[in-house]
Amino acid sequence: MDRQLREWASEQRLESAPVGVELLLRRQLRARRWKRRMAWAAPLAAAAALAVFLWPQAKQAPVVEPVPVAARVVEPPAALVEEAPPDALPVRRARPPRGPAPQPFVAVGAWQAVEPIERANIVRTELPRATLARYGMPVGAGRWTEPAPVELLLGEDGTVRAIRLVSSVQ
Amino acid sequence: MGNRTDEELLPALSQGDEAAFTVVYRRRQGAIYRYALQMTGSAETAAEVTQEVFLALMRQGGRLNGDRGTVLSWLYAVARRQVLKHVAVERRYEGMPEDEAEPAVDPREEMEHADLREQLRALIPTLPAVFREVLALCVVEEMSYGEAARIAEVPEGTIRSRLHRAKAMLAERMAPAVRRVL
Repeated sequence: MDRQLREWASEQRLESAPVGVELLLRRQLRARRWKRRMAWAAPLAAAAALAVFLWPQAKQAPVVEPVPVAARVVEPPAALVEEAPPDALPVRRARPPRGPAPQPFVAVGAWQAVEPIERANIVRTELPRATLARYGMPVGAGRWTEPAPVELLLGEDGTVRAIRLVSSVQ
Repeated sequence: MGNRTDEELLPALSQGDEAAFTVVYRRRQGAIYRYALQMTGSAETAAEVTQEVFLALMRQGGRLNGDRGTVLSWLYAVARRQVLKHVAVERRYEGMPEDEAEPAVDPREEMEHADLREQLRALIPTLPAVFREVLALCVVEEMSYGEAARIAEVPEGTIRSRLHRAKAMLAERMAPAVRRVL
Protein backbone atom coordinates (compact mmCIF):
# COMPACT_ATOMS: atom_id res chain seq x y z
CA MET A 1 0.00 0.00 0.00
CA ASP A 2 2.77 2.44 0.89
CA ARG A 3 4.53 1.82 -2.41
CA GLN A 4 1.34 2.49 -4.40
CA LEU A 5 0.70 5.61 -2.37
CA ARG A 6 4.24 6.88 -3.04
CA GLU A 7 3.76 6.31 -6.76
CA TRP A 8 0.43 8.06 -6.66
CA ALA A 9 2.01 10.97 -4.74
CA SER A 10 4.78 11.27 -7.35
CA GLU A 11 2.16 11.54 -10.07
CA GLN A 12 0.25 14.13 -8.08
CA ARG A 13 3.34 16.29 -7.65
CA LEU A 14 3.39 16.88 -11.39
CA GLU A 15 0.09 18.70 -11.14
CA SER A 16 0.15 22.47 -11.15
CA ALA A 17 -2.23 25.33 -11.73
CA PRO A 18 -2.95 26.28 -15.34
CA VAL A 19 -0.69 28.97 -16.80
CA GLY A 20 -3.74 31.19 -17.27
CA VAL A 21 -4.05 31.60 -13.51
CA GLU A 22 -0.59 33.18 -13.26
CA LEU A 23 -1.28 35.48 -16.20
CA LEU A 24 -4.58 36.57 -14.72
CA LEU A 25 -3.07 37.20 -11.30
CA ARG A 26 -0.21 39.25 -12.71
CA ARG A 27 -2.65 41.32 -14.71
CA GLN A 28 -4.66 41.93 -11.57
CA LEU A 29 -1.51 42.89 -9.69
CA ARG A 30 -0.67 45.50 -12.32
CA ALA A 31 -4.23 46.81 -12.24
CA ARG A 32 -4.10 47.09 -8.47
CA ARG A 33 -0.78 48.92 -8.61
CA TRP A 34 -2.17 51.35 -11.17
CA LYS A 35 -5.29 51.88 -9.06
CA ARG A 36 -3.18 52.50 -5.99
CA ARG A 37 -1.13 55.06 -7.91
CA MET A 38 -4.28 56.75 -9.15
CA ALA A 39 -5.77 56.71 -5.66
CA TRP A 40 -2.74 58.70 -4.54
CA ALA A 41 -2.71 61.00 -7.54
CA ALA A 42 -6.40 61.96 -7.45
CA PRO A 43 -6.33 63.70 -4.04
CA LEU A 44 -3.03 65.30 -5.02
CA ALA A 45 -4.59 66.72 -8.18
CA ALA A 46 -7.59 67.91 -6.16
CA ALA A 47 -5.29 69.58 -3.63
CA ALA A 48 -3.34 71.23 -6.43
CA ALA A 49 -6.53 72.50 -8.02
CA LEU A 50 -7.69 73.84 -4.66
CA ALA A 51 -4.37 75.56 -4.10
CA VAL A 52 -4.56 77.19 -7.52
CA PHE A 53 -8.08 78.35 -6.73
CA LEU A 54 -7.25 79.72 -3.29
CA TRP A 55 -3.86 81.26 -4.11
CA PRO A 56 -5.12 84.57 -5.57
CA GLN A 57 -7.48 85.02 -2.61
CA ALA A 58 -4.74 84.30 -0.11
CA LYS A 59 -2.45 86.81 -1.66
CA GLN A 60 -2.68 90.40 -0.48
CA ALA A 61 -4.47 92.74 -2.84
CA PRO A 62 -1.86 93.99 -5.26
CA VAL A 63 -0.74 97.59 -4.84
CA VAL A 64 -1.36 99.31 -8.13
CA GLU A 65 1.42 101.64 -8.94
CA PRO A 66 0.00 105.01 -9.94
CA VAL A 67 0.62 105.86 -13.51
CA PRO A 68 3.16 108.63 -13.87
CA VAL A 69 1.89 111.62 -15.69
CA ALA A 70 4.42 111.26 -18.43
CA ALA A 71 3.96 107.52 -18.79
CA ARG A 72 3.67 106.32 -22.31
CA VAL A 73 1.08 103.87 -23.50
CA VAL A 74 2.85 100.88 -24.94
CA GLU A 75 1.12 98.98 -27.67
CA PRO A 76 1.11 95.21 -27.21
CA PRO A 77 3.53 93.48 -29.56
CA ALA A 78 1.91 92.35 -32.75
CA ALA A 79 3.22 88.84 -32.18
CA LEU A 80 0.90 88.41 -29.23
CA VAL A 81 -2.09 89.25 -31.35
CA GLU A 82 -0.92 86.94 -34.09
CA GLU A 83 -0.47 84.01 -31.70
CA ALA A 84 -4.06 84.10 -30.45
CA PRO A 85 -5.76 80.70 -30.78
CA PRO A 86 -7.65 80.27 -34.03
CA ASP A 87 -10.95 79.63 -32.28
CA ALA A 88 -10.70 82.77 -30.17
CA LEU A 89 -12.96 85.66 -30.88
CA PRO A 90 -11.44 88.17 -33.27
CA VAL A 91 -9.51 90.85 -31.45
CA ARG A 92 -10.84 94.28 -32.23
CA ARG A 93 -8.08 96.75 -31.75
CA ALA A 94 -8.84 100.28 -30.71
CA ARG A 95 -8.60 102.75 -33.50
CA PRO A 96 -5.69 105.13 -32.98
CA PRO A 97 -6.67 108.77 -32.47
CA ARG A 98 -6.62 110.90 -35.53
CA GLY A 99 -4.19 113.75 -35.91
CA PRO A 100 -0.81 114.29 -34.35
CA ALA A 101 0.06 112.53 -31.11
CA PRO A 102 -0.53 114.67 -28.02
CA GLN A 103 2.49 116.33 -26.51
CA PRO A 104 3.68 115.26 -23.10
CA PHE A 105 2.49 117.04 -19.98
CA VAL A 106 4.79 119.66 -18.52
CA ALA A 107 4.85 120.06 -14.77
CA VAL A 108 3.54 123.35 -13.39
CA GLY A 109 4.66 125.41 -10.38
CA ALA A 110 5.90 123.47 -7.38
CA TRP A 111 5.35 120.18 -9.21
CA GLN A 112 8.63 120.39 -11.04
CA ALA A 113 9.26 116.75 -10.57
CA VAL A 114 6.08 115.04 -11.54
CA GLU A 115 5.06 112.71 -8.73
CA PRO A 116 2.80 109.78 -9.26
CA ILE A 117 -0.70 110.79 -8.28
CA GLU A 118 -3.50 108.51 -7.27
CA ARG A 119 -6.34 110.27 -8.95
CA ALA A 120 -6.32 113.09 -11.43
CA ASN A 121 -8.67 114.91 -13.70
CA ILE A 122 -7.92 116.26 -17.07
CA VAL A 123 -9.70 119.41 -18.11
CA ARG A 124 -9.55 120.81 -21.58
CA THR A 125 -9.52 124.60 -21.90
CA GLU A 126 -7.75 127.48 -23.62
CA LEU A 127 -4.92 129.60 -22.30
CA PRO A 128 -3.06 132.57 -23.77
CA ARG A 129 0.09 131.40 -25.52
CA ALA A 130 2.11 133.84 -23.44
CA THR A 131 1.14 131.77 -20.38
CA LEU A 132 2.30 128.66 -22.12
CA ALA A 133 5.58 130.26 -22.96
CA ARG A 134 6.18 130.75 -19.25
CA TYR A 135 6.19 127.02 -18.82
CA GLY A 136 8.71 126.58 -21.62
CA MET A 137 6.25 125.65 -24.33
CA PRO A 138 7.07 126.75 -27.87
CA VAL A 139 5.05 129.69 -29.02
CA GLY A 140 5.31 131.21 -32.48
CA ALA A 141 6.43 134.76 -32.85
CA GLY A 142 3.58 137.23 -33.07
CA ARG A 143 1.04 134.81 -31.54
CA TRP A 144 1.51 135.70 -27.92
CA THR A 145 -2.01 136.91 -27.44
CA GLU A 146 -3.75 134.07 -29.25
CA PRO A 147 -5.47 131.46 -27.10
CA ALA A 148 -4.20 127.89 -27.40
CA PRO A 149 -6.14 124.70 -26.61
CA VAL A 150 -4.58 122.92 -23.66
CA GLU A 151 -5.27 120.09 -21.24
CA LEU A 152 -4.74 120.75 -17.58
CA LEU A 153 -3.94 117.90 -15.24
CA LEU A 154 -5.61 118.61 -11.90
CA GLY A 155 -4.65 116.82 -8.76
CA GLU A 156 -7.04 115.54 -6.11
CA ASP A 157 -6.88 118.93 -4.38
CA GLY A 158 -7.84 120.75 -7.58
CA THR A 159 -4.45 122.36 -8.19
CA VAL A 160 -2.94 122.29 -11.65
CA ARG A 161 -0.13 119.80 -11.74
CA ALA A 162 0.74 119.77 -15.40
CA ILE A 163 -0.23 121.20 -18.71
CA ARG A 164 0.06 120.21 -22.34
CA LEU A 165 -0.82 121.55 -25.72
CA VAL A 166 -3.42 119.72 -27.69
CA SER A 167 -4.39 119.89 -31.26
CA SER A 168 -7.67 121.61 -32.00
CA VAL A 169 -8.74 118.54 -33.99
CA GLN A 170 -8.57 116.21 -30.95
CA MET B 1 15.15 37.38 -5.66
CA GLY B 2 14.63 33.69 -6.34
CA ASN B 3 16.90 32.64 -3.49
CA ARG B 4 15.07 34.71 -0.89
CA THR B 5 12.52 33.07 1.37
CA ASP B 6 8.82 33.86 1.14
CA GLU B 7 9.07 35.75 4.40
CA GLU B 8 11.95 37.88 3.09
CA LEU B 9 9.85 38.75 0.05
CA LEU B 10 6.93 39.99 2.16
CA PRO B 11 7.98 43.69 2.15
CA ALA B 12 8.31 43.66 -1.63
CA LEU B 13 4.96 41.88 -1.89
CA SER B 14 3.30 44.57 0.18
CA GLN B 15 4.61 47.16 -2.30
CA GLY B 16 2.95 45.28 -5.16
CA ASP B 17 6.29 44.11 -6.56
CA GLU B 18 5.41 41.88 -9.49
CA ALA B 19 8.74 40.06 -9.51
CA ALA B 20 8.41 39.14 -5.83
CA PHE B 21 4.84 38.02 -6.35
CA THR B 22 5.81 35.88 -9.32
CA VAL B 23 8.58 34.18 -7.33
CA VAL B 24 6.22 33.31 -4.48
CA TYR B 25 3.48 32.24 -6.85
CA ARG B 26 5.68 29.92 -8.89
CA ARG B 27 7.17 28.47 -5.74
CA ARG B 28 3.86 27.74 -4.01
CA GLN B 29 1.12 27.46 -6.62
CA GLY B 30 1.71 23.75 -7.17
CA ALA B 31 1.18 22.80 -3.52
CA ILE B 32 -1.93 24.95 -3.20
CA TYR B 33 -3.37 23.71 -6.48
CA ARG B 34 -2.74 20.04 -5.58
CA TYR B 35 -4.26 20.51 -2.15
CA ALA B 36 -7.36 22.09 -3.70
CA LEU B 37 -7.46 19.40 -6.35
CA GLN B 38 -7.36 16.59 -3.78
CA MET B 39 -9.97 18.26 -1.68
CA THR B 40 -12.44 19.21 -4.38
CA GLY B 41 -11.69 16.60 -7.04
CA SER B 42 -12.15 19.23 -9.72
CA ALA B 43 -9.33 20.80 -11.74
CA GLU B 44 -11.50 23.78 -12.51
CA THR B 45 -12.36 24.40 -8.86
CA ALA B 46 -8.73 23.87 -7.87
CA ALA B 47 -7.64 26.56 -10.32
CA GLU B 48 -10.30 28.86 -8.95
CA VAL B 49 -9.18 28.23 -5.37
CA THR B 50 -5.54 28.84 -6.33
CA GLN B 51 -6.50 32.13 -7.89
CA GLU B 52 -8.44 33.19 -4.81
CA VAL B 53 -5.58 32.25 -2.51
CA PHE B 54 -3.03 34.33 -4.37
CA LEU B 55 -5.44 37.20 -4.77
CA ALA B 56 -5.71 37.18 -0.99
CA LEU B 57 -1.91 37.27 -0.81
CA MET B 58 -1.93 40.24 -3.14
CA ARG B 59 -4.46 42.08 -0.96
CA GLN B 60 -3.26 41.09 2.50
CA GLY B 61 0.39 40.25 1.92
CA GLY B 62 1.45 43.54 3.47
CA ARG B 63 -0.22 42.63 6.76
CA LEU B 64 1.44 39.24 7.10
CA ASN B 65 3.98 38.88 9.83
CA GLY B 66 6.73 36.46 8.93
CA ASP B 67 7.57 35.91 12.61
CA ARG B 68 4.14 34.51 13.40
CA GLY B 69 4.11 31.76 10.81
CA THR B 70 5.24 30.89 7.33
CA VAL B 71 3.70 32.33 4.23
CA LEU B 72 3.04 28.77 3.07
CA SER B 73 0.98 27.89 6.14
CA TRP B 74 -0.99 31.12 5.64
CA LEU B 75 -1.61 30.18 2.01
CA TYR B 76 -2.82 26.75 3.08
CA ALA B 77 -5.12 28.33 5.66
CA VAL B 78 -6.68 30.53 2.99
CA ALA B 79 -6.90 27.60 0.60
CA ARG B 80 -8.57 25.50 3.28
CA ARG B 81 -11.22 28.16 3.85
CA GLN B 82 -11.85 28.33 0.12
CA VAL B 83 -11.98 24.56 -0.16
CA LEU B 84 -14.40 24.33 2.75
CA LYS B 85 -16.84 26.47 0.83
CA HIS B 86 -16.78 24.00 -2.02
CA VAL B 87 -16.68 20.87 0.08
CA ALA B 88 -19.51 22.09 2.28
CA VAL B 89 -21.69 21.91 -0.78
CA GLU B 90 -20.82 18.24 -1.06
CA ARG B 91 -21.89 17.75 2.57
CA ARG B 92 -18.84 15.67 3.18
CA TYR B 93 -16.52 18.00 4.99
CA GLU B 94 -19.02 19.61 7.33
CA GLY B 95 -19.14 17.76 10.61
CA MET B 96 -15.77 16.26 9.76
CA PRO B 97 -17.06 12.69 9.38
CA GLU B 98 -14.40 10.26 10.41
CA ASP B 99 -16.45 7.27 9.39
CA GLU B 100 -16.26 5.96 5.93
CA ALA B 101 -18.77 7.54 3.62
CA GLU B 102 -20.24 5.10 1.17
CA PRO B 103 -19.48 6.28 -2.39
CA ALA B 104 -22.42 6.82 -4.67
CA VAL B 105 -21.03 4.31 -7.13
CA ASP B 106 -19.05 1.34 -5.91
CA PRO B 107 -15.74 1.74 -7.71
CA ARG B 108 -14.77 -1.89 -7.06
CA GLU B 109 -17.05 -3.14 -9.81
CA GLU B 110 -15.61 -0.67 -12.34
CA MET B 111 -11.98 -1.47 -11.82
CA GLU B 112 -11.78 -5.23 -11.74
CA HIS B 113 -9.31 -5.27 -14.60
CA ALA B 114 -7.43 -2.07 -13.84
CA ASP B 115 -4.00 -2.09 -12.24
CA LEU B 116 -3.38 -1.20 -8.64
CA ARG B 117 -2.30 2.36 -9.34
CA GLU B 118 -5.41 3.04 -11.33
CA GLN B 119 -7.49 1.55 -8.54
CA LEU B 120 -5.84 3.80 -6.01
CA ARG B 121 -6.37 6.82 -8.23
CA ALA B 122 -10.03 5.96 -8.49
CA LEU B 123 -10.48 5.18 -4.79
CA ILE B 124 -8.84 8.21 -3.21
CA PRO B 125 -11.46 10.72 -4.40
CA THR B 126 -14.13 8.54 -2.79
CA LEU B 127 -12.59 8.98 0.67
CA PRO B 128 -14.10 11.53 3.07
CA ALA B 129 -12.50 14.96 2.83
CA VAL B 130 -10.58 14.74 6.11
CA PHE B 131 -8.74 11.67 4.79
CA ARG B 132 -8.10 13.22 1.40
CA GLU B 133 -6.67 16.22 3.23
CA VAL B 134 -4.24 14.16 5.26
CA LEU B 135 -3.14 12.27 2.15
CA ALA B 136 -2.60 15.55 0.29
CA LEU B 137 -0.54 17.06 3.09
CA CYS B 138 1.40 14.09 4.46
CA VAL B 139 1.79 11.91 1.37
CA VAL B 140 1.77 14.24 -1.63
CA GLU B 141 3.46 17.26 0.02
CA GLU B 142 5.46 15.08 2.45
CA MET B 143 4.73 17.31 5.41
CA SER B 144 5.47 16.30 8.96
CA TYR B 145 2.56 15.50 11.24
CA GLY B 146 3.17 18.75 13.03
CA GLU B 147 3.01 20.88 9.86
CA ALA B 148 -0.09 19.06 8.66
CA ALA B 149 -1.72 19.45 12.06
CA ARG B 150 -1.18 23.22 12.02
CA ILE B 151 -2.75 23.51 8.57
CA ALA B 152 -5.66 21.16 9.30
CA GLU B 153 -6.09 22.81 12.70
CA VAL B 154 -6.20 19.54 14.59
CA PRO B 155 -3.82 17.86 17.03
CA GLU B 156 -0.90 15.86 15.66
CA GLY B 157 -2.41 12.67 17.00
CA THR B 158 -5.51 13.22 14.90
CA ILE B 159 -3.40 13.58 11.79
CA ARG B 160 -1.57 10.38 12.60
CA SER B 161 -4.78 8.45 13.18
CA ARG B 162 -6.45 9.89 10.07
CA LEU B 163 -3.53 8.84 7.93
CA HIS B 164 -3.63 5.37 9.39
CA ARG B 165 -7.37 5.10 8.79
CA ALA B 166 -7.09 6.45 5.25
CA LYS B 167 -4.60 3.73 4.38
CA ALA B 168 -6.76 1.10 6.03
CA MET B 169 -9.82 2.21 4.08
CA LEU B 170 -7.94 2.11 0.81
CA ALA B 171 -6.55 -1.31 1.56
CA GLU B 172 -9.97 -2.59 2.48
CA ARG B 173 -11.57 -1.22 -0.66
CA MET B 174 -8.80 -2.46 -2.87
CA ALA B 175 -8.71 -5.96 -1.46
CA PRO B 176 -11.41 -7.61 -3.61
CA ALA B 177 -10.07 -6.14 -6.81
CA VAL B 178 -6.51 -6.99 -5.87
CA ARG B 179 -7.51 -10.54 -5.19
CA ARG B 180 -9.06 -10.81 -8.65
CA VAL B 181 -6.06 -9.21 -10.37
CA LEU B 182 -3.61 -11.33 -8.48
